[in-house]
Amino acid sequence: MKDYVIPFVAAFVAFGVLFLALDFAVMRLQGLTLIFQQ
Amino acid sequence: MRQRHSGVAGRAVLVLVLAFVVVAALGAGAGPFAALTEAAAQTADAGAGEATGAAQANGGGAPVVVPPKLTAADYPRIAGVNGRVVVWLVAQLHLWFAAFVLAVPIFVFIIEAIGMRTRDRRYDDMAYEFIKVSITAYSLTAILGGLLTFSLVLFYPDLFRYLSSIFKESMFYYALLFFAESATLYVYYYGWQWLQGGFRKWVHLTLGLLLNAVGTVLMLLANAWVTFMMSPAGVDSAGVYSGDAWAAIHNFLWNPINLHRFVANIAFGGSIVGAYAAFKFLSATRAEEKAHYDWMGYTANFIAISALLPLPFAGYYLAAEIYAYSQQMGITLMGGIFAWLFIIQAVLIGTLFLAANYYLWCGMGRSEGAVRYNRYVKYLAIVIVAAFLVWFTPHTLVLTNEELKALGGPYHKYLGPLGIMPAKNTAVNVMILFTALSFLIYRRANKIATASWVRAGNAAQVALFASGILNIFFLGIYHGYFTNTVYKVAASIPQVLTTLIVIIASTVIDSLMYRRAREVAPLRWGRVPPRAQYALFLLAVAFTWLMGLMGYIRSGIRQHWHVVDIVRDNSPDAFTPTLGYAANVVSVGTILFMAMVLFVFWLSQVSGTKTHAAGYWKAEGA
Amino acid sequence: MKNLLAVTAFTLLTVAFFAGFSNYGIPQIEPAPPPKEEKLDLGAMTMDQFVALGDRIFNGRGTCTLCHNAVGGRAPLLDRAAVVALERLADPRYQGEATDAESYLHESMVKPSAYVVAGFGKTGTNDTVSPMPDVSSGSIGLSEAEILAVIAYLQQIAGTDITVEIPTDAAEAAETAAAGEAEGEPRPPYKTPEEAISEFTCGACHKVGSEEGDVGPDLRKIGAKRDKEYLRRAILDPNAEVAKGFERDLMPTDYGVQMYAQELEMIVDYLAGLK
Repeated sequence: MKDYVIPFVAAFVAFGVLFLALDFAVMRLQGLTLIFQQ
Repeated sequence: MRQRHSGVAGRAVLVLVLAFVVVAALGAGAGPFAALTEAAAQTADAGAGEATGAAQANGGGAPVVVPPKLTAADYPRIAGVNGRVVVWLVAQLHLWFAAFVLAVPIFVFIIEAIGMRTRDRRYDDMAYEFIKVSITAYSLTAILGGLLTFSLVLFYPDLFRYLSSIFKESMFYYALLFFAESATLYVYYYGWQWLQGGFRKWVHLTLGLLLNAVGTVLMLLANAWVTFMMSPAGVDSAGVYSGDAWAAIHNFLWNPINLHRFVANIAFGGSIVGAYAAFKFLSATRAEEKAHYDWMGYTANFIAISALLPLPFAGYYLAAEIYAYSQQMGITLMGGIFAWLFIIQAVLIGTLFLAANYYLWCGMGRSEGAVRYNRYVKYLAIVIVAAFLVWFTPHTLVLTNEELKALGGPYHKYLGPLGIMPAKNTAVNVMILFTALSFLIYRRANKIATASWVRAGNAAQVALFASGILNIFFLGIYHGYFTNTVYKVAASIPQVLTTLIVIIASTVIDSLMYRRAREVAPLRWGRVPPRAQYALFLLAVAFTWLMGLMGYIRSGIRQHWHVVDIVRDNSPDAFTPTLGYAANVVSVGTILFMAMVLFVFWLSQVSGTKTHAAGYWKAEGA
Repeated sequence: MKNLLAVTAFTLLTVAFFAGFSNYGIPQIEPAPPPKEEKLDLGAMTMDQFVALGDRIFNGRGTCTLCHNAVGGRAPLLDRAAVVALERLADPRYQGEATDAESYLHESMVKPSAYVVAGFGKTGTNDTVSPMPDVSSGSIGLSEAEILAVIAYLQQIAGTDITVEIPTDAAEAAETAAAGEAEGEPRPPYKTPEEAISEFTCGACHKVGSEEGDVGPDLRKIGAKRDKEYLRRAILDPNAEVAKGFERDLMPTDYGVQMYAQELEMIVDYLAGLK
């Protein structure tokens, strides 16, 4: 069980961070922020 | 090989006739079409007069190309024939066949190269068979092209004169290029078995590359004429041509259409070849034949789906550029009268995804090893069907007055929000992701991974998909419903990038995990139920119909203009038809096309048949 | 043979499904027929008829309601435009040439970028460039009389007095437009290039003089890069050649009508001298 859960959590966090970074970067490139402002 | 000399001569004559027709048509005003165009141009003489007048004012320099101002009388009629529908149908039929004959050399080239790399003859044989199918289709493409030119000259002579005055160089070289296209295609096909082995094989592959290059140039030229009519360039606001042919070719929508058509051709071509394989599979009697065509069908489907996945984005880019060019055209396209057509498009695309996935799930039965994945299939099906339902839910409902009162407006309280773009983007990204997942599972079906980190690898895969899907939903729901229009549209970019990253990353992880994998049960080609072949047919018909619909939209957003803002369409048929009417014309076209395609398939079967006519021929030596 | 029949039947069924859905599953909207060029008999028209003409154009070939509607937030709503016009004129951002509601509405239609209502500009232009086209040209192509009819209609629906005068014939209306003044007298030509550049609001988009517009190319040293012929053409026909990195269809295309030849030459000479 452990040898599944730990890699899962690690990968989930890693990919999650990657996707959020992607969102932030691409929204920035379009002159916007990730969270809605104004 | 059968003697085909008469066939080659016949085709050469056809091409020469086509070249003559095009060159002659360009000389409208001289040659065989003079009487026709002059009779039709009585009232459009103002335009012609201006042209000559201006030429004289120029002191005898190059004649100035002035757009015609047309009235209803300028459009010749043939009793019992609706010129607009004729041009519409012939143009669409030509385009279907052209897309096919341009796409096939692309993947034939790739398959031949794979064959050369792996030295597996089956790839070479399959590539050869694909080209064989497209040879007959090539004749039909040329016939339809000639018919299209005739129809344009007959029913829209003044418009054609204006366009051909601007594009005279590209049209002339387009016609000449067909010599190159025919030459490369014929040597590539007829010389296939001759140019085998070592250096000759490289020559052959290069011929394939040349064939693709010539075909692509032909498409680029024809695309220029069509996009000029949507986003004219190289002419001033009155439509007077400046003489800069490159500006007219390189107009605003040229490259978006080039990209979209290039990718779409591959998807469409793959689906037609898949239908061919399906047809041959159903007709096959021997096990090796069934195995061969099953494999061919799978490969064709793979090509079609691989090209289908990036296609929504090429389409989105095209629509965005249409919007950037003319906000009016863009709004007519997606917010005005053509908006409902995109709901029909949604149904078609949903059909494509369902058919492709269904084919994959059926195909899992080729290996016993797939049994362990069977339980996941129903979840994939549920997700894809749900995504399809969201994808095709409209925003505004068709209601009677009583229903409107009862509902309190034209939107459903809960389903209405599913009708707007963020929901649809989310749905399509999910459909694409889950299709990729189907592929992943299919590829794993007959193998067991031997890598030491399998558990961790699988956990990573699940985490990848989970986080990717969560991100897609976050971007779709938060930015779609809790921000404003600008954020809403902007969020669709990271959404699609997420899908692409998940697909690429999962493919990489899986291929690493399954290196040196053990085959647990062999893939038995041919062991697939007949209904899987009908899925391939559904794919082909749906692709065709969808292409017809999209072609109508592209042409129709010009509304009552031949060349937007420059040449007004004043024919009796200038009206934009109802959606049902347009769908009916597309349907007729699809049926005609499928009939011709079935004819092509049947020909390829018949050409291999020999009937022994006992007693017919004189005995030898008599 | 059996296969051929089965496949044919399947194809026909599939096509029938798509055609059936398109005919019965979605609303059969009848698109408006192509607009007819109406022959206007202006001399015989009452104001009510003129307003009705404006109504027809507003909801028809003017294509106004394509963007000016309650759905989508693409353009300001116009039901009180004739009243709101006065607020717009009072806005410190307003740098156009209108002096009253009627001329403001007129300017909004033929020079939409002269003043862009906050939040409705093209993305990235900071509300300096309007996505609205000039209605007097291109595919909308309203005549001066038709534009006045629409203004009359807008004044009517806002409940204000109608100040528009029905042009007695199309030719007179065209002259009024060309002169650009409500009184029908030609305006005096601008005396200096700086005045002309300011009056034609070049600085709204270009860096020139003391202005810092950033929608179009920087003109402060344009004379070093471009000759007079290029500059003249760029003013008269901006879309003939768009500078790299800039978008087409932003610069007004009617300077050839607005400027006197003398003013054009003055501006071209001035720009050519900026090295």
